[in-house]
Amino acid sequence: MTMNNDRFWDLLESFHPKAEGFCRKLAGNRDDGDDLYQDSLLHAMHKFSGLRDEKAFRPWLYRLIINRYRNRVRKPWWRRRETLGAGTPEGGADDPAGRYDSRRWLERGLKALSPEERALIVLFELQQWTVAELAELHGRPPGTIKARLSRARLKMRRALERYLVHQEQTNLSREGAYGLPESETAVE
Amino acid sequence: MDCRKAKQRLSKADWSADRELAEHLRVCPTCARTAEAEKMLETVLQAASDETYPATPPAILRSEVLARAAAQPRKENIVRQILAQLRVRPRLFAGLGLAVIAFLFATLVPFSYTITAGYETMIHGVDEEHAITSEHLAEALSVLNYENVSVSVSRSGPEYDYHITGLPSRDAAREAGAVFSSLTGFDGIPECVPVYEMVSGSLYAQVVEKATRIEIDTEGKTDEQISNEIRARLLAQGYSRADVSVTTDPGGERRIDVQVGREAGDKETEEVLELKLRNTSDISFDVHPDDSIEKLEIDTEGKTDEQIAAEIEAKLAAQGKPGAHVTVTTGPDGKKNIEVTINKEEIR
Repeated sequence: MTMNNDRFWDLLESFHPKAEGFCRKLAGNRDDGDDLYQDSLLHAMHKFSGLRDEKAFRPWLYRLIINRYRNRVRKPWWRRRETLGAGTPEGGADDPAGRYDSRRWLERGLKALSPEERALIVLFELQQWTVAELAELHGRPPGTIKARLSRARLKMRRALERYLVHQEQTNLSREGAYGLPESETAVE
Repeated sequence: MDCRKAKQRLSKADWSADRELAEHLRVCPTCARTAEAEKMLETVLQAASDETYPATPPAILRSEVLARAAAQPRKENIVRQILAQLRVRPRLFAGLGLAVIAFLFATLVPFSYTITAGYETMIHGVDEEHAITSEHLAEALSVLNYENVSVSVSRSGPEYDYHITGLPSRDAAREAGAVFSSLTGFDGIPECVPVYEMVSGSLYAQVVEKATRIEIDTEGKTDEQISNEIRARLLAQGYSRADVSVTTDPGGERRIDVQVGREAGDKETEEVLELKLRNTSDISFDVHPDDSIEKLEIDTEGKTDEQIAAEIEAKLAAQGKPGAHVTVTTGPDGKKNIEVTINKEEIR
C-alpha cells in the first residue's frame, strides 16, 4: 500500500500544479477548489491499485476530478455544501487589475454550463488543452469535442448578454429614480 | 448585412477587423450587445488563463490528504457497509432477519382457521296448536329485514322442529326466536347457535377478521349512556356477556373497563376488542330507565293495518316484549289509530 502510495504521488508530481489549478477554476474559488482536489486525490488513492496502465494516469485523474465535481454539483439540495459568497477572493481588496470583476464575469458565464461543459471550457480555454487531448480524456471523436466547445461558448456568451441587458435596465431605472447619470450613481 | 450574418461572423476568431461587421454593429444595438458579450467573454477567459496561483507544495499536499484520509473513514459502498455492520453486530442482524421472517410468515403464509359465518335458531318440540307454516314465519322475518334467512320445518312424531338459518348476528337469532314466540305464543326456549366456517388466510388476516371494532360518539352522553351503548353493541356483535363500566374522574378523564365473554356453547376464540370514542366532552345527565320501550320506527307506506300491527308486534317482541297486542285502525280522515297492550307479566 505504501509502495502504491509513493508511486501515486510520483506520478502526480509532474502535473500537480495544473491539476490543482484546474480544480480551483472548476469550483470557482480557491477554497472549494482545494477541497475538491484533496477529496479527488483521496478517492484516487483508494482506486489507484485498479489502474492498469500508468500512462493513462493523467486523463484517469482528470476524469475522476470531473466526476467528483459533477457529483458535488448534482448532490440533492439537503447535502449540497453551500459556499457563502465566492469563497476566498484571491487578491482580496488589493485588486488593481480588476481581477475580481473579471472572475465574477467568468463565473457568471460558467454558471450557465453543465459540469461537463464547464470542465471542457476550463481545460480548453484556461488550461490550453488541445482538442485531441480532450478527445482522449472523454473518449470521443475530436469533432464531437469541437461541437461541444462551440455550444458551451455560445451558452456563456448568451449568459453574459443577458447580464448586460439586465445591467442596462438597472442603470436606466436608477437614472429614472434619482435623475443621476450612471457614473455618479456608480460613485455613490 | 443582416443580423444573422453578423452573428455568424461574430463567432469567428478575427471578427474585430471586419469593417462590414463594424458598420452593422454601429447601427444594430442587439448585435452590438452580442459583440460586447463576445468581447467580454474573450477578455475574461484570457484573464483567467493568464492567472496563476502558487500551487501547494506536493509534500504539504500529501500530508494534508493523508491526514484527511486518517480523519475521514473510507466510504464504503452500501453492501460493504452492511457486511461490516454484520461483522460488528451479528445479533442485531440476526434479530432483523428474524423480524423479517416473522413479518413474511404472518402476512404471506396461509393457515386454516374458523370464522363465525352466521347464526341459526332452532326451536324444538312445537306442538300442533302452536305450529305455523315456514312461509308464514319467513314472511314475518322479512318484515324485520331478514330477507336472506331460510326457514325449514321438520316433523318428529307429534311435534315440529323449526330451523331458521342465514341470520347475521346472535341478536338476529334471538330476534327470530322472539318473533316465532310472538306469532305462535309458544313458550319454549329457542336455541341460538353460531355457524362456523373453515377459511384459509394469513395470521394477519386472521387477527383482522376476529377484531371487534366499536365506534361510539360520546358527544353529550353520560357515562351510563356510553356504557349502555357499548354493552348493546357488544351484545349485537355476538358476545353473550358484556360487563362495561364507564367512570369519569373529577379531572374529566374517562375510564372504561370492558369484560366480555361468549356463551358456554360457543367455541372459545381469542378476541381483539377495539373501542373508539369520539367527542369525549362531559355533560350532566338523567338516568335512563331500563324498562322503557325504545322508539319504534315503521314505514307504513303501502302496508295494510294488519301488516303494520304485525310489524309492531314483531319489533316489540325483538325488544323483549313478546306478549304485546297491537291493533291498528284507519279513521275516515286517513289517520291511523294504534293501540298497544303489553302484558307486564310476560315481560318479566
